Amino acid sequence: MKIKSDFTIQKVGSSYVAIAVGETSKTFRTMIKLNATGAFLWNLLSQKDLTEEELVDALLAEYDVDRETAANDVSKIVAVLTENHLLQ
Amino acid sequence: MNDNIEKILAEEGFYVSTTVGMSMAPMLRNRKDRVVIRPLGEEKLKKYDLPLYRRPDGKYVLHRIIGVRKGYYIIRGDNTYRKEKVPAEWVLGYVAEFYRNEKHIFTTQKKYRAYARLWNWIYPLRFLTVQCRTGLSKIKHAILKPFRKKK
Repeated sequence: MKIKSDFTIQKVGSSYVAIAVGETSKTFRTMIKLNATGAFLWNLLSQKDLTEEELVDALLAEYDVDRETAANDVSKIVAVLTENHLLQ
Repeated sequence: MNDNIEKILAEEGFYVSTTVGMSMAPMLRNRKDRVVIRPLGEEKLKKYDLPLYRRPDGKYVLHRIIGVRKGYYIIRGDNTYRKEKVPAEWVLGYVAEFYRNEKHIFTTQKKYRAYARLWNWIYPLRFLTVQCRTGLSKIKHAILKPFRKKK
């Protein structure tokens, strides 16, 4: 899975929000708030096509968390991205 | 923009969006630049601020304040030539910061305020330029009209 190219992430203060850019912003008009973990995963998925397993490994390499917590975080973020049709 | 901007502003305390339309060019480009809107608290907006307001027909507009009056604002887009009287109660929030490419600009920055003042100051010149261009185009059409092929 990968983030569609017509979406970007914006840091506002300590928050991160995903918004549409270009023509997609005509139809996608909301903003999706992400936490730091979500933003980290977003950045990976905007550059590369990755599986959930690979995302879990990336989280484990970056943060001091156990595999179960990382897997939970990844599935939560993936659910949000899927629900909002941000993945290709 | 979003149908629930009021709701997002109330819940999140800010709203981020790409700008739509050419009316704030050259500063804000269509579907390229991003603005961060903050809800309006007790404070009043000043000349050159950028309010986001909602007209009674439901349309969201983001233009520049060029005059502050009692209970309303005089507003005009940077790339438009018509003023609008906007009651204060239409205003939902204001642009606190924006991103132009990778440049992050706060609307409180001195450099930005100077730009806004200058852009407004040269308005008569911009207006004249547009009028001349339109006039010349009309003259050109009138001169060339007899030579155009009839369909």
